[in-house]
Amino acid sequence: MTFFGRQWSWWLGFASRVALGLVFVWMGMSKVLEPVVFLKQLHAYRWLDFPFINIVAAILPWLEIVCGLLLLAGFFVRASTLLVAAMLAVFMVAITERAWSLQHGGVLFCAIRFDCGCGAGEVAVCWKLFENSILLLMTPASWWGARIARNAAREP
Amino acid sequence: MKIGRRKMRWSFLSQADEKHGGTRRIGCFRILGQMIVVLVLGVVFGLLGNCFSPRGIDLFRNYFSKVTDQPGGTAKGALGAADGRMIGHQIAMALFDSPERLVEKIVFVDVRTADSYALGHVPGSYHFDYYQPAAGLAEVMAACRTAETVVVYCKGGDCEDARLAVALLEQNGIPAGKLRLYKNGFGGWEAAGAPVETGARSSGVLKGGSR
Repeated sequence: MTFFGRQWSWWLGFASRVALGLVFVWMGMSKVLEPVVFLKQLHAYRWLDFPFINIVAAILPWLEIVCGLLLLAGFFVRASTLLVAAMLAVFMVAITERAWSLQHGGVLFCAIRFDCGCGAGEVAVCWKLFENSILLLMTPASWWGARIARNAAREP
Repeated sequence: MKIGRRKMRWSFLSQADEKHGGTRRIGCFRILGQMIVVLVLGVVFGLLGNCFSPRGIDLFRNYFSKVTDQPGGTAKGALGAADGRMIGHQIAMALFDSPERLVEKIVFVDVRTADSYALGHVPGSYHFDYYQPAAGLAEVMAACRTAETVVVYCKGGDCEDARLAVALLEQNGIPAGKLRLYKNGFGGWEAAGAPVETGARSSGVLKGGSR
């Protein structure tokens, strides 16, 4: 089945790649513009200590932007997709762990809200995990989209 | 035999097509190489961006040492250590109403961001951003040295910036006995209907102000 002269699988890969790219550029930019805010949010997770917390706070937002821009431009798509998937997986574990630590007094897990440092302000934990799951599900499509595009370019 | 097995193992990550009679293989090592390039780009842009950004963080400064060095390594541990200096809204209000505040024997120090300070602060309070101390430390230190009581506040709630700022002021020679932490923070101050000044320090422009 084709759509505008391309296979549907190509469009799925393209849409996933662009969506991931836009989200990562946006998330990275919001952190780059307020590095101190991101540093404080990282500290709230209690995962990292000095000097690693400073290094991660300085580099992670730019890594997100670089991956996002490469996905949008269509360069190093599979490498960027793998890095994006790895970052999303780590973010999801961190958010879940912090939400557990905030859960007390019989509060429902999904009712917990906090600023996860994801660039979107205070959000409900379940909504954030759902969002990240959707993004994570897009990564295989982005990966295979790059393969399809590469194979198509090689056809005589 | 070994090479054959290795090729088989990585084949799920590679693609091959027949062109010009040869086989092209883009294996996982190529993708790994590309990942390293992307990581290096992230590191280089991160370090350069942080270096040239006016809001960049100091990579060599331990911002949270006074919090994580406390027993237990949690913010609550540091809060416990500062409990004796914690004041509630009633005491803060009494200090604010005292005539000694007008001659700067009592000073308020706001340690929130410059943007939050401009939107509203305790009238006459000094602004000092703990994360960018170069911007206002000298002015605040001069005021704290001559004052008898220094009330430090941030936004309130779980905000730990006031505790960190108190620790920094102590490190710079302000006696611990002078320092007070207003636990309700600016959120509590505003919610209680206390006077709020906007813009620059002592601008005289009040927002609300009914008590």
